[in-house]
Amino acid sequence: MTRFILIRLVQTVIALIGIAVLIFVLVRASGNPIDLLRSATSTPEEIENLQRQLGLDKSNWEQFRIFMFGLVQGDFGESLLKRRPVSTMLGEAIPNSLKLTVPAFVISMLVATALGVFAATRRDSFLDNGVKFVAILGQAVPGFWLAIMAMMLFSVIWGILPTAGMGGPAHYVLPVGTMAFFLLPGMMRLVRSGMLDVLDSEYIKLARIKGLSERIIVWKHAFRNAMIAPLTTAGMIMAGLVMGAVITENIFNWPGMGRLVLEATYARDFPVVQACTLMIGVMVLGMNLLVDIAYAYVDPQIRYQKS
Amino acid sequence: MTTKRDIVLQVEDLQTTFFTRAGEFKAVGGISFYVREGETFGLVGESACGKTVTGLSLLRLLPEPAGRIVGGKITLDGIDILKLSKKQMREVRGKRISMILQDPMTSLNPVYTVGDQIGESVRLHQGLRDDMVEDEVISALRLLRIPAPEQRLRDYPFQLSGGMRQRVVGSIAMSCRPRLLIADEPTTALDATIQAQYIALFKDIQKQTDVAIIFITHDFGVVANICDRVAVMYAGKIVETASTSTIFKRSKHPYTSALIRSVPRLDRKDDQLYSIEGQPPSLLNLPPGCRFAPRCPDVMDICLKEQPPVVEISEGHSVSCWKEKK
Repeated sequence: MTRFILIRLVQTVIALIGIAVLIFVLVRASGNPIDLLRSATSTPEEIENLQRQLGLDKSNWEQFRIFMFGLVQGDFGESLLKRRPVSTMLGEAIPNSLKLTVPAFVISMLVATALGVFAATRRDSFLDNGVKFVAILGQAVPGFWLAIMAMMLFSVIWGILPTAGMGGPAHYVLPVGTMAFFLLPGMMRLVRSGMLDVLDSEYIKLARIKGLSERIIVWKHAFRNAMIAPLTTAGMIMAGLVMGAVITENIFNWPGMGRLVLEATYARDFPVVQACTLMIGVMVLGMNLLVDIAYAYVDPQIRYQKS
Repeated sequence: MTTKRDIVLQVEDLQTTFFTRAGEFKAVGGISFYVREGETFGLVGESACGKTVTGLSLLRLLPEPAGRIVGGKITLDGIDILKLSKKQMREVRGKRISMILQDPMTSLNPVYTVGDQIGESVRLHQGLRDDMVEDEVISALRLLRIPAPEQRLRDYPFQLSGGMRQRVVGSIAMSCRPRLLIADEPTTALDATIQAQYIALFKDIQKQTDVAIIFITHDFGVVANICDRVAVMYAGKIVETASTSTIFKRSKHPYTSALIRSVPRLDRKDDQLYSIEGQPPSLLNLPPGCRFAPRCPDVMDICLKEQPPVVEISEGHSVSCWKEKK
């Protein structure tokens, strides 16, 4: 098991180096930030000064070397736009993002699991049909549209929730709800179909023959097996979480990573985009590592193969 | 058998129907039989004749909501099972009646250890403390002659061979020393040699525990090996019941004779295996007369019009055929 985790850790580090190289190349392919920073009346000397100040006069190789050396030392450089250390900006933005993503993730997983299991155990009932309808609706409706509609209904028409920004508990309802709704339908369908497969199996029949109660059959015998399939796709769900954060934070004007990375991309603020992308990479890969460990915990066959 | 032992299970006119959109499937159309203590009773017939549905009916585990017992009476040790509440029925399952399923590769839960899966039954039905549960689990594994039970109970199903898994399934079934064991083709998925071992093992377990066994199979070779008495089923009805030796030597029903003739034999040189012409009738739309009549070589006029009554032609040998009524 420890060997398995070590191998995965090494793979994670290699993937992060790959992300760093890729994003370094990609941001520079988008154009020169000077074009956006200079004013229309800037003289060539002023532009040259600006380039020197920002370190953009150096060759790409030199810039890459500085970027990677800084990275190893935990230094992400300085924002071209705001002239502040990127690490300070991340330090402000990351907790704000976590305040949205963590509750959204927890709520959506709990609700998806509960509804998926109940729908599967009451197949073709009113509840099951409702779950199927919400799942299809949720996957068909674009999240940003839903967020704007919710904002219009709850904030503009009814006026019971704040439109945007960070503040008291009421400010959390709409963004957390929107984000949870990004993840909910897919997960719910996976849990439901996983449960249906498992409930049909011979070992569930044997559990009934043993005289076990329906509660133990569903939650002990079926649930753990039914979770194997949804777990394998959990990596994709993590990616959905990042996408959801970018959209939600921008719609609700939430000062987190999602808004930071989008603003920085528009401004070609290279150091900020690079740092944000890397942080997102660390989070997604880290969650995937946790998922793999959880997977090995749920399925003994994997645990034994890997050790 | 010299002395008559107590009757463990008595089934009278059991009828089980599946209510589907296509109509009513009369999977079991009124069958009666009994099983004595320490006896193995074979339920033989081709696929879809109602053998397995009979087994599931005895446990009241029909797939809901389609499957329902619509008539008859099932008595286990004097208790009318069909009158029990759901909770009382759960106490019967696993404790008084157990069942072994066909495929050992899929009937164990892949994510729990052998010890956990056997211990669960023991804990549920015997209310034992954890330290005593392990002793019971080991004794259940020993009963099925599983080597090194102290180690095996920590194994997961995927670490065991098919034959060993089926023994574990047997351990689960026997862990609470049930009165009745329903074995639904437990050897079909096993190799021929393992099959013989498994059957020998069960004969031995039966001697030790006096459990009554209903052995569901389509294989007359297996019947000859393990069963004391046999009932032959066709399209949801029992056509003939007799002791195993009577069935092989003096079967009266044309279907039984045809089934026995279609068993491949090593002592005769046959160019082609014998097979029965035609198909069993659809359970949705049963003929008014004898269900075997359309395929029967000895068919008479009355067979097509009226169902034959069950006639006891000698002690313990009953047949449902118009030929015997005359």
